Amino acid sequence: MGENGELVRRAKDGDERAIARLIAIYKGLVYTIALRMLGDPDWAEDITQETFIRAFLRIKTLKHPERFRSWITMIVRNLIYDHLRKRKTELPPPVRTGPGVESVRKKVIIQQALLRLSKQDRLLLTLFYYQGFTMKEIGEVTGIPSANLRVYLHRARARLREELRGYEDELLSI
Amino acid sequence: MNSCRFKDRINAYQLGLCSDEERRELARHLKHCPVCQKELALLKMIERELSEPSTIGAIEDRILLHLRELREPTLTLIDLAAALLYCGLFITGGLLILPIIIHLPFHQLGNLLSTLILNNITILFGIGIIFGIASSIYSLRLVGEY
Repeated sequence: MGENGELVRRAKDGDERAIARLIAIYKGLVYTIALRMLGDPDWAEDITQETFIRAFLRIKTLKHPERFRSWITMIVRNLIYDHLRKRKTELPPPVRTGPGVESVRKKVIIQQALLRLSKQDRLLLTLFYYQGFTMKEIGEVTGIPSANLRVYLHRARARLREELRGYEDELLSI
Repeated sequence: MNSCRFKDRINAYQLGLCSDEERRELARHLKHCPVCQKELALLKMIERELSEPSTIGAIEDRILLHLRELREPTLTLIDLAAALLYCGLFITGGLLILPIIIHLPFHQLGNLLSTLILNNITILFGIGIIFGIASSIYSLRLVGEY
């Protein structure tokens, strides 16, 4: 069992230092997914906290500690989908990333384009580009068969590319 | 010139979805087509942006505090009320089944059983209460842990 597997085993026994260490390791992943999917840092932070609380209350049900990453990704996915379902009649808030600098403008353009995609496309693109996810893990979380993933990804990228039409020169000049 | 017939294939090319022949053809084409070079640069830029993780501040302490609060064992009036309800249902159910047992064709077994039950009603009543309290607390703890 790797280091993370050992941490999960200790977290199952209630070891708070192991829990804190797991949060430190995976909070970036969970927050990135939430932010890309929702576009709002406050919502993303709330979802991130809720994800870890739910995960550690249920951690005894996780039979394979080595699958902690996919497991927690599925928890955040479900929370995000619930959040989107509850707010489906609301427009997403304007994308906020902090004080304005040129490179932030690039992030805002891309994030706004992402928010116009379907939630499956957003999730697929976020997981594919987040380092370390295998195609098998992405398939488990998205429900897309591994054999078809690259085709789905190709289509998601094409749709994202279409949403960025008209911004090419601005994006490449920043 | 802003368009090229190969431009829409650059996405597939970058993902490795082209056949070997098409890949070689596009690789040659990219050497001298500014439109497709720009398209490839844009896709690589998108890839770099999406690969950059977002950062969040320290949330570990807040989460640990929440977890401690949620795991705090508490026995409330609701727990006790539920326990009494379980006991009542258990004992009532048992008393309702008792006449059925007595009137079974195997009445000798039924008579023996009824004698045993009536002589030990106090013990059975006590066991029923303990079982009822224990099962209600256990089931409420499982619900509460979520």
